[in-house]
Amino acid sequence: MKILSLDYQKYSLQNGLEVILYQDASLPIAVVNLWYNVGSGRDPKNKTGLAHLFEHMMFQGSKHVKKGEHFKFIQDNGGTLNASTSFDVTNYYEKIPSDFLETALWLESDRMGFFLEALTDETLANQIDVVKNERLERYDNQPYGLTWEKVFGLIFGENHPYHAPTIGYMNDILSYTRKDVGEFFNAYYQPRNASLVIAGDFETGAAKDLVEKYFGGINSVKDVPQLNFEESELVESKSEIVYDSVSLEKILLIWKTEKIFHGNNFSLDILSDILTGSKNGRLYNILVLQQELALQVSAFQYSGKYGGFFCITATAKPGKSLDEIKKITLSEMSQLFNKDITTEELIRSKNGIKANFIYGMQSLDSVANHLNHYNFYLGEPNYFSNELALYESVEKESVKLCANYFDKSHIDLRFVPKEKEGKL
Amino acid sequence: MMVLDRTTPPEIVEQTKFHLPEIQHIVSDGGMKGLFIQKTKLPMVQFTMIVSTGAVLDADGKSGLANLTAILIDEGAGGLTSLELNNQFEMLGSSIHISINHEFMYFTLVSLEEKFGETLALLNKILTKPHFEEKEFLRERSKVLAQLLQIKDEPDTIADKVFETHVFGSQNKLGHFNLGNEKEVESLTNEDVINFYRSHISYDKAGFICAGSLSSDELKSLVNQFIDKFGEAKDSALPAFVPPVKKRCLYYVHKPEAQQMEIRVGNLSDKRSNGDFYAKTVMNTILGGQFNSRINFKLRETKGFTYGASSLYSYRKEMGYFLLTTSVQSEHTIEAVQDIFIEFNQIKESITNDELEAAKLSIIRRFPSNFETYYQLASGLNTLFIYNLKPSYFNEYISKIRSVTVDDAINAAKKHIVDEEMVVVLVGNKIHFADHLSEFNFDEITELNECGDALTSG
Repeated sequence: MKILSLDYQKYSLQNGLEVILYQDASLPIAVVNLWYNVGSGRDPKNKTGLAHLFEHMMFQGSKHVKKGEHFKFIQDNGGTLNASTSFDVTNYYEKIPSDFLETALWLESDRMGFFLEALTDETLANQIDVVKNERLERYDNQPYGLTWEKVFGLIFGENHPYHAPTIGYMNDILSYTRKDVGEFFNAYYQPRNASLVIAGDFETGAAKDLVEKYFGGINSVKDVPQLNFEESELVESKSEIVYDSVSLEKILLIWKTEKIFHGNNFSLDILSDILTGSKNGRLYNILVLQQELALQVSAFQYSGKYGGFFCITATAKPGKSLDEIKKITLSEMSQLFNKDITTEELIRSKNGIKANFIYGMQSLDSVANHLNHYNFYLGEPNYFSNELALYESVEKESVKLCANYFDKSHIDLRFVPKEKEGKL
Repeated sequence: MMVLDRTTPPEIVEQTKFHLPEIQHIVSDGGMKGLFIQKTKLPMVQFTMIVSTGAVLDADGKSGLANLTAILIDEGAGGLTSLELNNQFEMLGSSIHISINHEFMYFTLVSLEEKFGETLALLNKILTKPHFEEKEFLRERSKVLAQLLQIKDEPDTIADKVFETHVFGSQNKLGHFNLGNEKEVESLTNEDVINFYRSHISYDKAGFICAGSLSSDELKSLVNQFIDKFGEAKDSALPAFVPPVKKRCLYYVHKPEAQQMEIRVGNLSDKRSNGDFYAKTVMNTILGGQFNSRINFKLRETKGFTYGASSLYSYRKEMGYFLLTTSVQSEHTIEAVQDIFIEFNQIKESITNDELEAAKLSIIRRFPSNFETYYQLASGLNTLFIYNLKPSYFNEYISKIRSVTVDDAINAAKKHIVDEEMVVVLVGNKIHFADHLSEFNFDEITELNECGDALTSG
């Protein structure tokens, strides 16, 4: 499909920084999207959350940009900006009127090359407080807020890079020092460990000159540390009950699956659609509509560079049993794998996926981020139509072959009102 | 090689000129008005039919009725069961989302251009022949009741809900919680839903907005074919607003297990078409409208009390409100509220020229990026539609922002951030504020339970 095939240029600077340029002059806007090949999977032992804290620190100023000025330069010039940390990567982006592309490159390059000169105890203490608040607000003070911390902690062993939450444990958050931050920066924030996408309305030659001007003089000084860990299987099923400030009980069932872009992931995504993608999803239909046991149910495949899992989660209606929900879920899965999947189920899912690929091309920041995403995991930025073709090639049989994953051990995690503690 | 001087930011020469997309006005054969922007970048259509009806029309004792009607209207229609209807949308790769707020009901479709006609044909079934079967009603009502139970566990939702109820005054339905309250939702019947549909959803109260790759002629023809006439015209004007008694109030919900304190502070304000809109927009950008605004910078970047704090003006048709939202470490509750009031007062005293210019440029330069996605285009059209703004609104926007002066912005703060009418909401553990409330000169302090019902007053 033509609209999913993007005309781009990719090259590397001498210092190893990968650069991807994609022109789209439909609006006078440009996006700068910079990925560093470091996420919370690289957090040192007993320093969980350091990669995420570091993301915050990158907005605290650099040698030539004072605290608060990064935001000011972008926002006063009509731009938007943000950053995010995952297990695998840390991502920074600015979306700006295209005249201000140079401003964004100046800011990003300054913190890539000259961050440490501006690091102070005061800015670190401030951002430790901010991250502490983020953890309290978004996780600890939310019903079911510890869900994903528990899920990843149970499915991935202690030595796995995905075991600890990206936000970090509170004790670790409070323990970061300037030395921790400095070492992290020196190890991972180097041009050779990053890829820069510029997308939007710009002239290619001028953009290349600007990239060279601002990033070309930053040296990659060290080899980036390798990530070594021993992967372990989930030998036996585990279960855990969390007593929480919640009114409705919730269950999560999780099976280990595959890393990102593994060939079976496309079938697993379609499986999740067939189970809970809509009212017609098999589990939604039986649990929410027919038997009215659940308020909601959803299934999805998660995968990253170092591992993946398939998760089914349901919130029980008041007085309804999680055991019953689990029993029906497993029975429906078994039926799906042992009997036929309908052609209609497959087409319905594929039509939705195709439409979403097209809808996803509307926003320049989303396109820029995808270019970095494909480049990071596959080495090829323009993978949109290839990925769609992989979904379109999924057959009923390939979905049914996913049954193998669900024969193995699994996690059974439940959230139950704390009033029930000791009464179950 | 010359060493790069990084000490000064790059000098930028602004060259680009942004051309607003053309907004076309369409009137169907039956008289339904619509706004349309053609955008051919992708072969898709973002379409919303807007009906002037909403939760303010919930009868007394029947809160949640408009919401339940919106949920049920596509649970089976035109001879298709709920699942068959859903299946047909999905086979087209299209989506439908039906939602309701206090004054409007939205039927939003997203589809590929080649499937838009078939998608609109399905909307026709929903609008003209909804089944409203008892079985679906009982199931969806019980889901809403379960949701209401869940919300009691969500401190941020509780805070939002309490603020909206009390800023508009509980005698008005403009701030009532759309999902309704437990007791009243329990008493709703399928007959109530059918009556609401018959009384309040009809073509004469509807209009549409659309951004898509099709032509305006094609759009008009499809509108004529599928949604031009539905329902019977009824006279059901939205109720008049009764101004609440002006007082400075605190409402709090004690949650002993809370890890943070949810804070909302704000007051009732004018409708959007009030002449101060642009001054308010600029002033709020400085005060709390973006990351480097005064309040966020103080509470987050200077004091480290919060993950974030922001303020906004929100508008209904005839009224609006100003609101500051944050969640802070519980032990800093009092200082955070004090800081918020200090900032409210300071912006009435002074705004520097630099601040004003920076805020104006930020808004002006961001303007083109509001017209990027089909969703954004439709949102822009929605703004024109629901607030009945002049067709020239977007053409004049930049010059109106540019003309705001320091005095305009300060006067907007004086007029629209009103100390004596502040509604403050705290949701968290009261041990962190209970002994300090006299410092804030509230006319009224009310403790509420997690449903928002008063426990005591004093």
